Amino acid sequence: MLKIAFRNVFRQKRRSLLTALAMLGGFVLASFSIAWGDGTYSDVIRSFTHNRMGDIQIHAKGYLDHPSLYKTIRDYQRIGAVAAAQPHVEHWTPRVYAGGLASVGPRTTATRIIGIDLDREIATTGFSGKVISGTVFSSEGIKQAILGKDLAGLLSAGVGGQVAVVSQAADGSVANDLYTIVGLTSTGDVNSDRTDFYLPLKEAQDFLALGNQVHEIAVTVDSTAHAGETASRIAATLADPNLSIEPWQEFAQDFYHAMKADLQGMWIMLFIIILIVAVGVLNTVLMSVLERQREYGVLRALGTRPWEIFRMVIYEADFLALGSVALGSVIALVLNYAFSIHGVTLGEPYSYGGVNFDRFRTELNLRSFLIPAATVMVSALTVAVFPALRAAWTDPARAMRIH
Amino acid sequence: MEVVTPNWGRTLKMKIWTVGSEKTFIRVLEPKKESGMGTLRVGSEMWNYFPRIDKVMKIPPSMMMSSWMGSDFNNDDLVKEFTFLHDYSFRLVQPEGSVPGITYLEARPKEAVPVVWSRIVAAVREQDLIPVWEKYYDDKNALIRTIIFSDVRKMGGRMLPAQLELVPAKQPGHKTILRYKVIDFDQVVDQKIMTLRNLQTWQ
Repeated sequence: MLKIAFRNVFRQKRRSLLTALAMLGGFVLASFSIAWGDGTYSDVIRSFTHNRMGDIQIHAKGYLDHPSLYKTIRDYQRIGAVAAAQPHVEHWTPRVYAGGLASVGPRTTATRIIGIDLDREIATTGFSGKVISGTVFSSEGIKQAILGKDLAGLLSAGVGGQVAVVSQAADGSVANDLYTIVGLTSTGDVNSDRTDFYLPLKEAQDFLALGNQVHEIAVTVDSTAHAGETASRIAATLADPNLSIEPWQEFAQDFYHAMKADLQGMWIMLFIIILIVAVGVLNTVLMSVLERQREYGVLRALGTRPWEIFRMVIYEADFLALGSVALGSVIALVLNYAFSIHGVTLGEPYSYGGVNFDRFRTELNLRSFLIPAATVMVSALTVAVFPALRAAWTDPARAMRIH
Repeated sequence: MEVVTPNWGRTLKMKIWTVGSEKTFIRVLEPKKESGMGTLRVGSEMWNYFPRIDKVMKIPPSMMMSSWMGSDFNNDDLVKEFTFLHDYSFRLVQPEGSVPGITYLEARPKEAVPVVWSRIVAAVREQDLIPVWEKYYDDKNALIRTIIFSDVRKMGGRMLPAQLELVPAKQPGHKTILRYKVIDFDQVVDQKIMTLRNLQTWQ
C-alpha cells in the first residue's frame, strides 16, 4: 500500500508540486519566524541583563519592594563567592545605592549615588564601555566621581570639574563631600544618564557610613535560560531567610511580561500557517479523491477494504508533507543560519526598556524546526481525513459508472 | 533637637534666629561632625551650608518635602510657617473625645492656596492659650503627624511649652523632639545675620 501511495503522488505532478510548495512555504516561514523571535528575544534579554541589571540579583529581603538605605547585605564578599562557585555563573558585582543632591556652583539637582567595585563592574556589565568621556576611577589619591552625561549637563559641569554631593548617612548624620568628575557615562537610558552618580564602592560606603554593607549583588550567567535554576541553587546554598535571590524574570517583571506578550504573537502566526497549509492540502486531496472515484470503485470491487483505501489516501498526503518538511528544513537551515550570523542592522537604533538595539539576529535552535514540522504534518494529516473517508466509502457500483 | 529612628538616634544642639515669620537662621553647634552647618530661610527660599566642603546649596523646589537634617520636619515646614496665618481659615470645633478646659481649633486651607495639609486641628488650653497638641491631615483626611507640646514654663518672659514632640503617624519608631533651652524675645536682630554671607561664615 505504501508503494502504491508513493507512486500515486507522482501521478498528478503539477497538483502535488503546488501543494508541496504551499507546505514548504508554510514551513520555512514558520521556522524563520520562530528563529527570529527567539533570536531577538535572546539578544534583547542579554543586552538588558548584561547592561546593568545582571541575570540574577541578590538583595536583603524586601529591598526591591521598598528600597531603603538600611536594608543591606552584610557580608557581600562571602555571598559573592558562593554565587561565583555555582555552575553557569560568569561574574558578580556589588553595589551601594543612595539618593542625594549634587551641586555645582548655584545649580543643585537630585541624584542617585551608586557605589561600584570598578573591576567587578567592568567584568560583569562592561562598565568601561559606557564611559564616553574622561576615564574610569584611577588609583590617584583624589576623591573621584563619574556622572551620567545628562546629570553633568544639568549641572553645567564637565570632566575635571568639582561636584558637591549631600545625602543622609546610615548613622543619621548629613553626608557631604566634594568630588572631582573624572568621567561621564552614557547608558542609553535617559533616566539613568540624568541621575547616575558613580563612586568607588569603598568611598560610597564611607560617605554613607555603611561600613562593609552593600545593597545589591548583580550576577551574570552564561545563558539567560540558566538564570532561574542558578538563582535557586544560590538561594539553596546560602539558605538565608533575610536574603532575596531573584532571576531577571522576577526582578524585571514588567519587562519579562512584555517580552512574553510579544512571543504570543508566534502562536497566532502558526495558526495562520496552519490555515494556509490546510486549505492547500484540502484542495489537492479532495480534488484528487473526486477525480479518482472510478478508480476507488474498481479497487473496492476488487475486494480492497475501505480501511486500506483510507490509508492509501492518508499516505499520499503523508509523503507530500514529509517531502515538503524535508526540503523545507534544508532551506530553513540555510536561511536561519545566515541570519544568525549576520542578522539585520537597523539604520536607527530601536529603544526598548531603556536599552538601545541596532541589530537583530535569528537563533538557530531545534524548536524552530520541530514546531513547524509538527504543525505542517498534523494539519496536513487532519485535513486529509475527510477526503480519505469519502474515498474509503465509495460505492463500487455507482463509482464505476462515472465517467 | 533629638531625632529617634529605628536605625539610629542623634541629638543636635542649635542656635536659631528669627525675624518675624519671614526670616530664619539656624546654626548647628553640636555634634562636632555637623558643627557649623547652617540653614537660612528668607521668605520661601532656603539654603543649606556645609562647612566641611564650604558649600552653600539652595534647596530646589523638588526637595522641599524632604527631611530637614534627617529629622521628621521637612524643609517645607521651615518655609511655610510664615504663610500659615494667611493660607488658612480657622474655626472652633468640638471633636470626639474632647476634654473640658481645652479649646479645639480647626484650620483649613483657603481656596487656591498650594498647601500640604488639608486640615489641621489644634488643642489649646482655655485658661492660658498654651497649645497642647496639633494634628495634621492630608487631602484624604488621613492623620499624617501629631505635635505634642509639653514642659510649660517661663521662657524669655513668657509662658511657653519648652518641648515639642513630632510623631509621624505612618512611620513607627520615628519621632523628633525639640527642647528649647533658652529663648529671648523682642531682640533686635542684626540684618547681617540673615544673609548668605553670614551662612558661609564659620570658624
